[in-house]
Amino acid sequence: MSKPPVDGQAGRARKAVDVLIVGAGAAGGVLAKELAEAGLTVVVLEAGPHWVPERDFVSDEKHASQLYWTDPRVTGGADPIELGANVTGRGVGGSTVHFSMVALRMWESDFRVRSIDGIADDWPISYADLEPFYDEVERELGISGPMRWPWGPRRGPHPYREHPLNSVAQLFARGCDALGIGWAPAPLATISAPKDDRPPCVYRGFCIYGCSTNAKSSTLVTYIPKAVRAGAEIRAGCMATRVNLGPDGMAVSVTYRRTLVDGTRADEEQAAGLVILSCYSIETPRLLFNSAGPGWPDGLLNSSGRVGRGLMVHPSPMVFGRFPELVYQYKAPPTLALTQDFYETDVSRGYARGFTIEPIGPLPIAFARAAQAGLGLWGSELRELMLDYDHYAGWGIVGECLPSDANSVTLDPEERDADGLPVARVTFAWGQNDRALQDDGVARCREIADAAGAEVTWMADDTAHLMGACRMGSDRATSVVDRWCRSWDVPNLFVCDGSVFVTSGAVNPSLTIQAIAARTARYIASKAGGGSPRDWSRDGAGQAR
Amino acid sequence: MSPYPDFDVAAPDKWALDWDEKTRRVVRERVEQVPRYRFFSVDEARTMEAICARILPQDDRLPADRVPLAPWIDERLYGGTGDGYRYEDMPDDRDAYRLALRGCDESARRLHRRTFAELGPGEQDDVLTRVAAGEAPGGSWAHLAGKRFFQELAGEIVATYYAHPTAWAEIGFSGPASPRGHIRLDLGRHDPWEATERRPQSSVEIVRRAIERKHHDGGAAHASGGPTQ
Repeated sequence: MSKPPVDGQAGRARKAVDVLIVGAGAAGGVLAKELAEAGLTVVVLEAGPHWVPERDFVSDEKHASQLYWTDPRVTGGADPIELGANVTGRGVGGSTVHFSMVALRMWESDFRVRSIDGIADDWPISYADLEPFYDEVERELGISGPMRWPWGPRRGPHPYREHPLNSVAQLFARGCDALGIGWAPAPLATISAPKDDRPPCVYRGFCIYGCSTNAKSSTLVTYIPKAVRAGAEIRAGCMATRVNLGPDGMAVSVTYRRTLVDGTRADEEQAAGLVILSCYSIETPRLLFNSAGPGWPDGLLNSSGRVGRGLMVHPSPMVFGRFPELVYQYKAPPTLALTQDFYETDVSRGYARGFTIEPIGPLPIAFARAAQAGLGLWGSELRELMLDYDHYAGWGIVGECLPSDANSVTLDPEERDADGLPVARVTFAWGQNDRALQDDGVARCREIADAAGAEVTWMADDTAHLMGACRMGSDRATSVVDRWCRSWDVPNLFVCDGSVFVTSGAVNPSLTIQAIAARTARYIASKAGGGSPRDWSRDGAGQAR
Repeated sequence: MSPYPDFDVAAPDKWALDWDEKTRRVVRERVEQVPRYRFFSVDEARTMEAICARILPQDDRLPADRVPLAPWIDERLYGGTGDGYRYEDMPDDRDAYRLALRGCDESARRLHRRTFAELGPGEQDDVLTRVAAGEAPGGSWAHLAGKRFFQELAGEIVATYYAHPTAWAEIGFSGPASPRGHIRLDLGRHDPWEATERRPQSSVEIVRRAIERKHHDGGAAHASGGPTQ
């Protein structure tokens, strides 16, 4: 099926390392640095390339498609999710090289939705469990934000000063002020003053197409270089295809396809004492399903039947307003202010949970596509509307999506990728609560635009961020991993990425993914006692509390 | 007509200051090296060009000055690169485009007795409006969700057009801004190297009409478009 590898190691595992991490994105980068600095030998497999921003990141909306996961997948259900650019990343840094950098914490209530609202489920961890790791990650990334944060749990100042508001954020603030809605400068993972060897942001506005000046605190330019300095090996161009178990039911290695210099692909295998999957909400379940074998007919780690279940995506419809002033919406990071006044359940609204509202600043292609889809415009009218691009400002919600078992990642029964592996099939439909929340969110966005002086407003549907599909929990019958991201089924196999989310929250998930990764790394390092984690079986599967 | 008639996003001074080398290379290739057709047949290419000319009309420009659209769609389909997903109710992109081009001809013949490329602009818009509504006649549409395909098609054409510096200049988008960045971020202010509005105009009426149409018929219909003023 595959060509023999050049180094002649076919069928034999490379020299075992302490920890093998699959995926060099938001979580994988944090894990690699923390575990390598704890003295463990670490290898990270990454399907995509190892970017050099100065060389590879072109300031161009169309060219940015290189940053997304564009291997085939199937999307379906009543409300199919747009995959690709919207919710995926490929290459070292994962989607942190093209995310919008909004660095918000989840709230205390996010971890206790069942207790408080009687729906969804509680997390097996609390805000207090994550708080020190939020602090740690914010320092490491140099999050730039306000001194005081008006919402959620009490907290200290952000490590770096906030960025100035651009025109879109100024209009947003004007609208909020007129309505008595609280707003704050957005905490961002892009630096406002020099940090390490990185210069501050110069407000180009191409943030979500790859930052070519390195102001953006992706894991590519923060955690990963530190991981490498501490001895971790980042093995790019390596697509994990299977997690292998030994006769004792422990993970022993991962098989992967490496892209060789001549473009051919070869199978290799890396042995490890401990394996962590950090491939996000679609590829982590897919890898587990593709690792099915004797004893695991329904996919590895799937004794609970929860692998691939409970996929969530944030509803993020956008509202655009036409303003008499020139806005030039393309400048600076897209989100420089936000409000969380509508974050938690308000019974008077008739639905549970809530949303954050964040300004956006789409470049021409994204704006034109939103206008096309949102208004049903094409032809000369669309071209004429686009002549007015510089007079528009917009904002959208990041809304909570309640988990549902019917929203899932499975293997497509027929379709295969270029390597012959079954591709992922994503099935999704909004629930009633999700819809009510979106409608109300759009109404609030319109009010703010109207109050800011918009002459006309229009909206376009959108979604952002994936969460769930390998949830954590305190009961092995209903979850895939425990509170430390350790799988219930295979003691030395962890899942640590956005797929462990129990509920979606209503904030951009990256900071929480990274705080969870920092916490998991601390746990692994402490259990390993600075030595090797190869004896994980002795304390039994997932017993740690 | 553009509100920014004297703005050139690729003017020599901007080109030197706002474009890093790798971006210059990518955009120069896009402008100068328009690919030849390798996926579409001659007939398919003609139909595709006719569709592009209605979704993104450029009648105000001489043929040589128009931003090429169909060749880039051909290039993508020939290379087989996708955007990372396929809707479960849609065939593979290549099959979808072939089916749709055949479908447009079938609809054109049923409704107006000629191929799509032979129709006048109003008739072509009529066909496309029906495709967008999922109501186009013709056997091919039984195998392809027209409504979904139209969204994909319009999205790709629009994305191709607004990837071109000619389109950026027309709408007052300042381009790559790398490495210079932006200094004046306040509302109503702009850096000297950004576009200055000379002929203010407004999209308010277009938006109001579009919203009215959406309310009237669920968003499917489209007012027939003439050349851009």
